Amino acid sequence: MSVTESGPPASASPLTSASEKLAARLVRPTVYTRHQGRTWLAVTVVAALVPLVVTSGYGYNIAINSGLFAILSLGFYFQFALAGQFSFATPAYYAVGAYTSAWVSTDHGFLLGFIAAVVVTAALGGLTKLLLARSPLIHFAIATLAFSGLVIIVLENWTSFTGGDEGKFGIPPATLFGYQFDTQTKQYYLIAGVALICTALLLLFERSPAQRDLTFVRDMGLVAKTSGLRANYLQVVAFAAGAAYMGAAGSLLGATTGFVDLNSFSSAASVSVALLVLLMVLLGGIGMVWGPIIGAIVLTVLPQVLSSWQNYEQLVYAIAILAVILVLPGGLTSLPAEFRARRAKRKQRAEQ
Amino acid sequence: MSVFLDCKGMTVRFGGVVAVDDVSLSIDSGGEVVGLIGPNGSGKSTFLNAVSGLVPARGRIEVEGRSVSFGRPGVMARNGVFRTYQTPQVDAELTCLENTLVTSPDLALRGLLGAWPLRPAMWRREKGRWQEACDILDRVGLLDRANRPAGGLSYGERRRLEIARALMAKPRLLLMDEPAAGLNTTETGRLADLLSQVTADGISLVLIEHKIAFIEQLCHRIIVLELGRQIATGAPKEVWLDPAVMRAYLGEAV
Repeated sequence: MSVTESGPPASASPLTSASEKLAARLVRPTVYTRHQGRTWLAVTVVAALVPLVVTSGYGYNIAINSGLFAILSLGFYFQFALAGQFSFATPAYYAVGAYTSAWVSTDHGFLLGFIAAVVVTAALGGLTKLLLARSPLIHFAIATLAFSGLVIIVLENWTSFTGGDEGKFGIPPATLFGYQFDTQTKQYYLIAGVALICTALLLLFERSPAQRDLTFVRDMGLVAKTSGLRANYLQVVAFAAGAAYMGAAGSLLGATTGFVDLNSFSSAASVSVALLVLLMVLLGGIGMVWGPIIGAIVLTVLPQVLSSWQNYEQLVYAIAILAVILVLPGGLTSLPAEFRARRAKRKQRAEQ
Repeated sequence: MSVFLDCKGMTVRFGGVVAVDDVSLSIDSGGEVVGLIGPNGSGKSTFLNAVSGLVPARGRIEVEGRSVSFGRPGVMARNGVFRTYQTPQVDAELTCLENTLVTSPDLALRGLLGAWPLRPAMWRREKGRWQEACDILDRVGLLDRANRPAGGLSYGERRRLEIARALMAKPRLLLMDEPAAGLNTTETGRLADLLSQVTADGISLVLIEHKIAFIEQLCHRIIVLELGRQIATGAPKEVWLDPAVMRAYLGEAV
């Protein structure tokens, strides 16, 4: 007894034949057919060519900062866009990652320092989410704000660990298997490389059953829980992974500048790091991995470009952000889709 | 056939209101169908919510003789009891296939390991799950829409997708909250066919429903609730003749 057989006569026959044809072969979820490997390669090539354009130390500072913020934004994207967890704790993971890496790498080298930063911040992120597992979205956001403040206060007062107001000096520069990243060009390549690996990992995660389950948990809440999905486990894991990205960025900050102090984590260009990263992700767009990267680059470069406007810098910056968010609520990465939709609409109107 | 689910003395209070008052329900494994009926506000949905751990309740639940702590959502699903909702719950963003896949009881390689280091093994595992989900979608007549977002489905199709998701979990018992609500006559007929097929496979059903013909076609036994209390139980034909049921539905002659 087939369900389609008893359907309305008008649609019965095409429906049945279509499903018979499909039953013969396996249907795979569309997400697995949407390959982004080529885009990733193209971005890698562009990133590799950046030193052709950038020549000054000032230019490299901007490029390195863009890379660090790209990693931070990708971490935030992991937590917010994929796991559906809105957090203000970015500065906490960034700082803990930086100091952990600074101490471990002084004695045991950069690689172990980097790994330690990733592991410690992942554990800290997982713990944050685990302790707040029952808090709904907005409560969770406020709780992470408090948590972040708490971590910063602890670090401020733990001067033997953080170096207090003067900061921690003498962090050894990054070395990998004997190769020293001692020039700005090499450091840029290191950070761009890590950012690209972070991106690739996110692309793989998005094409995995973990993301499918996570999306269902994010969108359906209690229904997902009553359906027996491992809601808490998946969210803890994804939140921890996002925190680990931020820890990795912290580690790279110390390994490239040789120095960290608490000011690097609380604010950049007079905007709090937590808000700046949120702004980057929203401006770039939360629809795809490329959004946070574009947002990070734009919001690192823009203030530098605007600095020649002196008094109007803040004003133009604010207006530019408002304009993008009002005109393109999906972020800069939604521009092609938006453009295509408009063209299709215009075509339709012309045909009428 | 043996008793699969046994709920004893379920009581739910909202403040001073007793929404479900000492209701007991037991259902056999292997395809028994029990109808849960009653006027609006009689506590049918609240009873299901209590069983699935969505509202706090007092009482005892046994699955195959084992006592189960039912306070948290998800516990009953792990015990083979799955439910559908009065408004069909599908993730509009995910495709029909993905909506079905999420409840697969095969949890292997669905975390970070499957996403990163063990991808080849994950692919092999996934293919089995896709095949299973495709078969189920075919059964409910949605296979041709497998890769379309569930947001584009009609109301009746959403209902069928929800049933597909429930079947994917390989439940022993399905709790269904008004599965035929909002469906036209043809769709209701198809749903009845599908459900009798499901019970023939040995899945038991608890149905909350208002459509009398639908209930009579499927249910072996009916429990009638009024204002949270059980007022009658028995075979469909007997229950309609019960004076208490007539009073509850039609009111008393003055």
